[in-house]
This record gives sequence, structure tokens and C-alpha cells, in this order.
Amino acid sequence: MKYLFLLIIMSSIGFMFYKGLKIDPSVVPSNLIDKQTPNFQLKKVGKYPLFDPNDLTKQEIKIVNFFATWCGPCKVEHPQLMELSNSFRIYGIAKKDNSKDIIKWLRSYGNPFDKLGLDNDGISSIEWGVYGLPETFIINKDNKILYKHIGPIMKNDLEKIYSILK
Amino acid sequence: MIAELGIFFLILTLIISSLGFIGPIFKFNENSEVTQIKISRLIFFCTSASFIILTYCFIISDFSLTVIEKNSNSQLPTIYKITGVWGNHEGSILLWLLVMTFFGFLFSCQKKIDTKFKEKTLSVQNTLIFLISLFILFTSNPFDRTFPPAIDGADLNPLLQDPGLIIHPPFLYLGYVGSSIVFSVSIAILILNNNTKEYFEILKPWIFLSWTFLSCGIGLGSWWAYYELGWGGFWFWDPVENASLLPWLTSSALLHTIIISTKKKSLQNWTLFLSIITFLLSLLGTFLVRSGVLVSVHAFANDPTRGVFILLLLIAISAISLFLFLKRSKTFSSKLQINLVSREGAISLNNIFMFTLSFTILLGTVYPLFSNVIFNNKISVGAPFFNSILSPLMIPITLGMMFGPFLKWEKDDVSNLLSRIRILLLILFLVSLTIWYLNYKGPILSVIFFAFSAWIITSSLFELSKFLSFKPRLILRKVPLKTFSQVSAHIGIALIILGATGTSILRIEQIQFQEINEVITAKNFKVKFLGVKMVEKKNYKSQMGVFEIYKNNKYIKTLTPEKRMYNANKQVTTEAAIHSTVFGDLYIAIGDGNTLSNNSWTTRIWFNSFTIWIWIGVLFLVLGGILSIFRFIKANK
Repeated sequence: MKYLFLLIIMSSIGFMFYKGLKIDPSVVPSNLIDKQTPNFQLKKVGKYPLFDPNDLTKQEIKIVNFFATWCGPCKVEHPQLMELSNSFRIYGIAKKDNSKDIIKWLRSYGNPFDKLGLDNDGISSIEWGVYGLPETFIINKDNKILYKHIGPIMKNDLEKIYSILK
Repeated sequence: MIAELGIFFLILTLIISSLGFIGPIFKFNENSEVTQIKISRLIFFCTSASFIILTYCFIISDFSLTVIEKNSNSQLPTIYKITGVWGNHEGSILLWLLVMTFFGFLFSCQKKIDTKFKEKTLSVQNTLIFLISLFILFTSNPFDRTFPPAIDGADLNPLLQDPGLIIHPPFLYLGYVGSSIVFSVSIAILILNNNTKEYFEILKPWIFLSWTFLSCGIGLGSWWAYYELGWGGFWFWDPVENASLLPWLTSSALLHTIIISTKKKSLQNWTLFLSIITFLLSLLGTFLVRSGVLVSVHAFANDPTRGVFILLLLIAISAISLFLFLKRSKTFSSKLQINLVSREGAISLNNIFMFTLSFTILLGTVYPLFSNVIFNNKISVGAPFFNSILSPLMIPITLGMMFGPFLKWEKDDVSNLLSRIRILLLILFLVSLTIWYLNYKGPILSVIFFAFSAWIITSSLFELSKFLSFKPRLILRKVPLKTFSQVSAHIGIALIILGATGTSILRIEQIQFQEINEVITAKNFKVKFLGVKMVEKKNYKSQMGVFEIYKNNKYIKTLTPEKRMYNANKQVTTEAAIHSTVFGDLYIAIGDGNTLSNNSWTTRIWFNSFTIWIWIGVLFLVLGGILSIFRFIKANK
């Protein structure tokens, strides 16, 4: 009996590891695609209007952008966000940042955000599955995530982004 | 040509080590000249020769060998050419084999063991060596040629070009592979089906030896990650880190049960089980690292085809050893009742908790893989899971370390114990008050863990105070080595708890674009950024940030964190700069420059409280292990 038990355990572990060998663990699809946006809570930045979950229930397509003033690529992305903000609402979430720097940043480079908030403990970013900055989410009318862009949106990404936004 | 000689020696190792199991099957080494002792010595010689040849090929940069072409470069400093030998899969498995044969050799030299037992143990060890050399020759031959030969190599992974890497893997391997001899001895005990105490005595020093090396290896690895990776932490619950922690935990449990097994003849089957599991976990660790089934920072050497081979090896060794264990464990189970309130009881309880801890960590480590296979669901198990299981389990483990040593063997009772240690309890109370007074503003968890740490240290020192006598004058009687090593190891753990708590719970982190001459405050330090200068070295270019550190407006020193770009493979690495004090480390890492303005850079500044005590704790831990080994050597003379 105990030997049978050993046999079953060994073979099932062996089987799982063997199966596991064929899977590439580094490919991580976003679990959030086609799901409702996760909940979050942010802090207010200066006098800018605070972004909260109710804003995402509006019957329109919108963009949520995770950024930080200490993040170099975010600065590269900024002009593209400015351009997108002409036609869509963009909500910003600053990760591990401080109000003073954000205000300075928005004053010098322009403010693409309709509303924004500060995620200082990084918990909201975890809820959204953000693992690098910048990351951008496109959210549809029904508050579902349509698309997630990892890394800065460059000029040549805009075409793709526009096609999804339509 | 010389490389072919290397293969020749490897094949010799394979053939000779096969006698490890052929011998007992055909029974030709009973009463014959071909003993397992001689075989062990011979294969140690062959593997050493093969390893030396590979090292030589690395030094002369023979780029016709695939391994060297991929992992070395003519511009590399000689010391890194040598460490490059184990900075890749093939070479490191050869190192693994070398260490394995080395332990076989050491065991063959140990005196005071009866020949029959020695022969059995070595035949198991030689069989293991046979399997590993089979693995090397068929899936990871370090002497494979590449054609046409390359003009220059692709360079050693820059993360590995660091003094920490010179010693971290060899120590870790000595620990991992050291458990192979513990495994072999246990299997020999099971085969001989004899529960005499002497056999368990033989097991003892090898457990201490491999545990000491493993502690050292893990400590060095953590230290390396702390200053090389630039993430500001010392432990990331990475699968590979966990893989090294698991055998450490089980062999720590083993260190304690072996004492009971040799002293009281009880818990013997548990000791054997732990010995087997420790080695199996080492093998599992190797499988996880080498096959790439889990995402890890150590992913510089993986290949799924090798994974299949190691998996087969792992399954075969586990199945055979566990089968043997189940079959024979009756001989080693004892009917002796263990009292809960006794030294044995405390050790057994602690063992249960340590085993639970390692099993839970194992589950957390491989769960992403299982969930992927069974539920087709990608998840990751991270630090929050591990921290939340570690914290509650630390309570019984701490209590065990505090009061266990004061319990009597066999039978004790609580009221007796309490009256014996009433002074200690009073001191503990005062210590707790002090800790609370100093930290009550901080997070509650940090206060609790600081208290744990202080409690362990206090009760360990109290244990030593028994050897002080005040009358007629203050003298320190001779403390037995056994007590010394135990106290040292326990204090080591306490210091690691202190450092880990400070570094994780009390850390202060600041990330920002810092302009030249801007001053950032971290704890009571002021960090002034003076700018970035370019430095060019033989095999890399570096952007070196210059920071002046002030405390109370007094200049302390200049720190220069770097961002290095290696010439050969254009890889970028971060070199953090650290100012260590006993209260904590000021840790600075520099990132990218601001693309829009020329005078500001991303800087990350941490204040990690008490980090230095982690490393000091590891030293204490290792000292404890060394003292135990020393005790054994002394006893064996």
C-alpha cells in the first residue's frame, strides 16, 4: 500500500515537472484583458482632480497610464500621451513618486491627464498587474480592459493604439 | 588536443565509477583488490585532472571550445577567466562532480569506520558519481568543440564578473553536494539494516560539514545579490534562492535530530528521512535551476533537454531511496516515548516546524509550475506569501531556540524549568521593555522581531553565563565546544533576524530625478549629487555617479555607484555603492540620465537598517558549524 502511494506521488510529480519543461515560464499574458478594471485607491496630487474608480464607469473609451517622474522612458512617452489626450481622456497613476515632482513635471512638459493620482505604496499598481513603467491600459465603455501596452508608447505605436481606440 | 585529454579523463571517471554498482551486483570486490575505497580515490584524481584541464583551457582562452567561446573573452581579467569555469552550466556541473568525488575521497580517508560500512557508503557515492558523469558526457560536455573556431568569445555574463562569484558557487556546491555523502551514508545504513549508534555517529560530522558550507554559500550569494544587483535587498524569494534554502532548512533540522539519534537511539528513521530528503532537495534545486521550468534571476544556464535528464535522475534516485526507506524504516523506528517537555521534545517540535516551513516554501516555489500545468493558469508566488508564512513560524522556532537549551534530557517539567531560569525571565522582561521603548514608534512587526532577536541573544548569553563563577573571584570555566557552537549558531540566527527585519520592514526608499548639487535626505544622512563621470576600464565603460554623504552637516565620505556597460556583449550592470554602519546601510544606485535635461539623473537611495548584522550573523552561524567540525576532528584524533 505504502509503495503504491510512493509510486503515485513520484509519478505525478514527475509528470508535472515533465509537462512543465515544455512551458515557457517567462511568457506572461495579462490576466486582466477582457476583465473589469481592478479596484484602486490613490492619493491626490496638488490641486489636480483625483482619479478614482468611478471615472472608469463613464460610457466612453479611455486610457489609464502608469508613470513616474523618476522613470526615463516615461519622459520619452510623454509627447505621445499629449497627442492622444487631444482625442481621448487619459487618467494617470504615478507610482512611487511625490507630488512636488509630479507638479513640476506636468508644468514643464504639459498635462495630458484628465485626472490623476499617486500610488505611493505601489498596491494599486500590483492590483493592475503593473511590473514595469510605463504601462498603459485601454478601457472600453463597459469598464473592461481592451489592451495593455508595456513600455513607452513610441511614435510608431500610435497607429496601433488609435486602431484599438476606434 | 589537451581538451580531448579532458574528455578522456571524464570517460575514465564514468567507467571506473560504474564499478560502484557493478561491484556489489557481481560481488567481485569482496575479498578482492578492487575496493570501493580505491575506486573513490581514482575517480577523484580523474575528475580533478579533467577540471584542471578545463580551467587551463579557460586561462589560455581556447575559443574552439563552445563553452569558452560563449562564456569568456580575451579581454577578461585572468581571475574572471578562472571563475568563468563555473559561470556556465557545463563547467559548473563539472565542478559539482569534482566536489562529489572530493567528498567520496574525504570519506575514504576517514579513520575509525569499519571497512564493510565504508565500502557500502562509497559504492552508493560512486553510483551517484556515475549518474552525474553520465549526465555530463551526454548532455553537457564542457569539452565540446565549435567549428569554425571563434576569434573571440562572447564574454562572461557581467553580473558574474565579481569577486563574490569567485567563492559563492563553490561554497554552495560544497554544501549541496556535501549532502550527497550524508545521503550515501544513510542509504548504506538502510542497506545494512542495522540501527547501531555508531553508524549514526559517522553521519554526524558530514551533516555539520555540508550545513556549514551551505550556510556559507547562501550567505555569500545573498551578499553578492545585495551589492551587485542594485535592488537594495538581500533576499528576493527567487526560486533558485529558495532551492538553496530548502536543503539548508532540512539539514538544520537534521543537525538537531542527529543529536537525539546518536544519544538516545530514537528518531532514527526521521534522521534517515531528513538525510535523504536533504539530498533530494539539492537535486530538485539543480533541476529547477538548470531546466528553466521556473522564472528566475539565475536563468543564465538552462536548457529543457537537460531538464529531462535531470528529471529522470531525480525521479530514479528519489524512487529508489524512498522505496528503500519505506522498506527498512521499521528497523529504525523506536518505541521510546518522547516527552513534550524535555530537550528531545523541544527538538522534535522545532523539527516539525522547520519541516513545515521547508515544505511550505517548496510548495510556494513550485506552485506556479503546477498551476500552469494543471489549471493552465499563470500565477506567481512572491515575497508576500513567503513572508506571511515565515513570520508566524518564527514564533515557535524562536521559543525553541530560547528555552530548548535549558531543558533537561528525557524528562523535565515546566515549573522546574521556570524556577531554573527565573533570572533569565527577568532579564528577558527588561530587554523587551527596552526594545519596546526604543522602537514603539515603528511598525509593530519590527518591534516583535527585534524582540525575538534580542531574546535569543539574551538566552544564549545566559547559557554561557552558567560557566562563569563569581566566587571566590570572577573566572570563566572552560566552556564545552558543543555549547559554544550551539550558542554561536543561535546568536547567528538572531542577528540574521535583526538584520532581515531592519532591511525589509524599516527600509526607507527614495527614487527620483536628482539634479546636480541637489541634496536628498535619507534617515539622518544627506546625500549630495555632484554629477556623473565616465570611467573606462579594460573590459567595460562605466558611468560613475559621485555623491557626497553628510551626517549632521559633517562630511563623511564620497560614494560612487556605477552603471557599467560591458564591451563584449553590451550588457549593462548596476554597481551599488554602500556606506555601512552598525545601524544601517546607506545604499545608492544610479540609473539613466534625464533625456530632456543634461543635469539630472535617476537615483535610488535606500536606508537599510541593520543590514550589516545579516552578514555578521552568517559569520556566527558558520563559526558555530566550524566549531562543531573542529570538535569532531579533535575527538577523532
